Amino acid sequence: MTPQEPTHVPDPTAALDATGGYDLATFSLSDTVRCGRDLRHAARGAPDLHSAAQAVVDYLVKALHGGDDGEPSCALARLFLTEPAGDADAPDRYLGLAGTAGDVPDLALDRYRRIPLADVAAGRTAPLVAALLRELGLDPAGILTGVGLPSWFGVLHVPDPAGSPVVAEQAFVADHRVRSIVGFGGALTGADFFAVLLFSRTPVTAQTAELFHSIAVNVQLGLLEHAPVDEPTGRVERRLAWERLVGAMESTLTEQALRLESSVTDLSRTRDRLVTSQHRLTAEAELVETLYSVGSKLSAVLDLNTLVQYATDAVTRLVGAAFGSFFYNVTDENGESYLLYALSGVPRDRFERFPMPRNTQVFGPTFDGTAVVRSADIRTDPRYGHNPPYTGTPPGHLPVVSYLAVPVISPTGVVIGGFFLGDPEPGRFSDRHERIAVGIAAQTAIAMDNAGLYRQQRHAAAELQRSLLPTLPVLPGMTLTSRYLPATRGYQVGGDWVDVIPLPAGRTALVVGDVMGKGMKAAAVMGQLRTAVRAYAGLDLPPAEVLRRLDTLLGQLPVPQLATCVYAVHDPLADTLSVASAGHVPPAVLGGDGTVRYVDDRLGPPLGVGSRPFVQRRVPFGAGAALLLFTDGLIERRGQDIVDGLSRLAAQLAVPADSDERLVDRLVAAAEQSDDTAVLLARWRPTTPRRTAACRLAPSPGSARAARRFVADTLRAWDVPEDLVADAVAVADELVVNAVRHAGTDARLRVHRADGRIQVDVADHDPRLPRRIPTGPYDEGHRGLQIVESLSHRWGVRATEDGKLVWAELRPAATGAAP
Amino acid sequence: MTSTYSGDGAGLTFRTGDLPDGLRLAVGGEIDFQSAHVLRARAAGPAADPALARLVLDLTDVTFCDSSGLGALIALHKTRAAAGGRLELAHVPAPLRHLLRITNLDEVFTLIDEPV
Repeated sequence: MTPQEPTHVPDPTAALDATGGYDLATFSLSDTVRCGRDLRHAARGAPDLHSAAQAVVDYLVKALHGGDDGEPSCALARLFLTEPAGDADAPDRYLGLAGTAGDVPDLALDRYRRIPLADVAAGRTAPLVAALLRELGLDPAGILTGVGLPSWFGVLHVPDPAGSPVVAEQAFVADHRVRSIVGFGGALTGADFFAVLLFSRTPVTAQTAELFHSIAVNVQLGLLEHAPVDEPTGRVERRLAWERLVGAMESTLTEQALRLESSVTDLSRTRDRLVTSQHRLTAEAELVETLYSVGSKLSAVLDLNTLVQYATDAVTRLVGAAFGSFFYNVTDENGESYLLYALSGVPRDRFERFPMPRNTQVFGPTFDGTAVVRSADIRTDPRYGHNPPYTGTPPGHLPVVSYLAVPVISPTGVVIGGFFLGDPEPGRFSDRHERIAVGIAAQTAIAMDNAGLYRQQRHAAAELQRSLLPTLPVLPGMTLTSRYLPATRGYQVGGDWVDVIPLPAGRTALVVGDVMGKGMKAAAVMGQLRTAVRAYAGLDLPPAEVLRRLDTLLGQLPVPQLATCVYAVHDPLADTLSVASAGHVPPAVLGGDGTVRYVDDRLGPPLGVGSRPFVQRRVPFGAGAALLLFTDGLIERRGQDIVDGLSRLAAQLAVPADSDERLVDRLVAAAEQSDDTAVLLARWRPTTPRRTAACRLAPSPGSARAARRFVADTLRAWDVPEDLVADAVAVADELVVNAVRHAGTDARLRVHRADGRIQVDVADHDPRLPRRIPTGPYDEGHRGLQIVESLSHRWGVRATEDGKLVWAELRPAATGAAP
Repeated sequence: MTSTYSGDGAGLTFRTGDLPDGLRLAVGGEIDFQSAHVLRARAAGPAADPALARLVLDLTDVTFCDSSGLGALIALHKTRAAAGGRLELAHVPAPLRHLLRITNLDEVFTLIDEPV
């Protein structure tokens, strides 16, 4: 024990177990201190010098490892000690292998157990040891004599031993994957010294090798405990060794500190660079986000005026200009006028006194779309003031000093206009401001283009829809509620339609149809079909016949087209609905008692398919009943079939509503509206009692007179005004005369009164239809229908199941001759 | 001098009276599909008589007339024209006047309202 050393000596191996050893790849200053201390203790704690030497290499093999897998770094660790000088008879000095550990501790023992220092000095053997000694400053003479030894220690670093001339054991290096060799050594007492060689599988950097200086001194101190010393010399050696240790630590610390400081400097520089680029990135991100935000808002605005104002406000705000404006690139005949459209930051009247921007050098590049003009002070710009009689801005003009103008160019390359931004302070607009303005100009151009297109399309579609959709008539007793909803997406008009056509005898045709496809073509076909339906309704054809003719018509179109349709006729006299369907979603009949029934059996084929006949059904339709006609948009839902849709609709219809308006609104609100939807609800609620009377007439000349009596008596009993009675009598007379004269069959005469109107009809069993024949002044016949036409509001004939029915309707207002 | 004739059916009544320069024939009742031929038959003789300077058909008591009746009147008018005279219709009731107007026959006939 020496007084300098702590009395408590911890077991270095135990310490190792606790720390897990040292990773040579990341060998740090603190590792150096702890590892050195452990080595010193291991050596000092050994019973003698040679045991100490073995303890040192054992420790190094055990303590040093590389990487995460913890493989021992040292393939071989050896410690050589000079043997004590011999007597005069044997003056040669030797280096002896005092400790060896690792994968092959016995490697080439013959060669290295006892190496003559003369051979080392002459380079005949152990070139590594020679290199180490040379590294430590010993010349061959010094090696032999030990002169110059007393105060050295040092480190040899062979970073890449494979093929190195100083490494003799190349086979071992290769077999054991030795990547670096570290050697260190130092003086003991007198001329003696030690040398340690580590064959490391872990690559050792030059920096790590440097740290072995303090390891070397620690080993030196540990070994000195056992050196054969005479007391005074030993003390000196130990004191020197301590000084060396402190010196080594200081130099290592200094070096580490310098390295640390330089790292810190580097780090701080890197950090500054990072912060700078972070700022730049943040600014970029903000710019992108701003433009994106403005762009998405712009693209959502489809009204051009709103759009331009929004864009002008945005660009003015974002570049921090005192005022900004947008001018349309509208030129007059002189090519010199631009249209002020939006102004931001100043009231509009500030501009109204000035001529519009003219085709000057300053404005030219903007309206030509050739360049962005940015000036820190426009007054000093060479392009400024070349527009006689003006030399610069007109008096009273906004005080523009900083100036930025950006053209707005449409995707098709047309210069729509430009943003003009100004500020009374010089140098307000930066590169970044310019980029913002250019970005917003680009977004604005696209949005304006879209808005323009949208407006055109929307206008065309809306116009078409308006022209094609019916104005529902006002019918006594029939409440009509209809909705047409375009699909929520897109602007294409659909081929859906509903129609209501008043028929004679208070009957009404209720129609819904859907031309398959979308767009102008479908709408055009829809228009044709709708007109055709009205024409056939005018002929008062039965529903199945109307569909048959539509089918033929559609089949004759140059481009084949399919359509579905329901044609229903309400007959208030019979309280029935005659329905025929061509492949359409079934209409629903809502009974006055709240029942809901689809007229869905035996659907006919769609129109345009051809050939098959259509079926006509008659269903009860009394007071309070309603018919719901709709297109499939009302019930369609993605992922659901039509049956589900119909069930859902039936459930909705079963829930009572305050009014038909509310009911239809509810149905429409529940619809997904992925397709166009047309809905018509027709509810029959007769407002005044309808009266009917009928009589049978034989085909004899006296029937006319009988008919006149019947009509006059009936209408007088109904309190019909006398002039209307007279007309009705005259009309009935002519109709019956026609039946008697031309049909020669039994006839049925009916009179109806509803809402002040009188209808007279005569049905016979002759299918031939009467014709109105033009008469000359001296013709004696053919005046019957002329009289009917003159006296009635309207008249007509329709085929019945077994003949025909001729009818005429009279209204009080229509009484008398036309003016 | 006035003589009264009962109609020969279909409810029409006829009365004839002499005028200084012709004949007045008064018709009553409903002139329709059933009775028009009776009027035609009764008036055909005087209408075809070229010796009559005037033929006045007094319609005061016609309660109804339809297209068949108009046909009969036109036939008489044509017969009269062929005989070189004209058919005058006197005291045409409002419904018949209306009928003549809507069939544009008021241009064809000579309507008179003065007592004859």
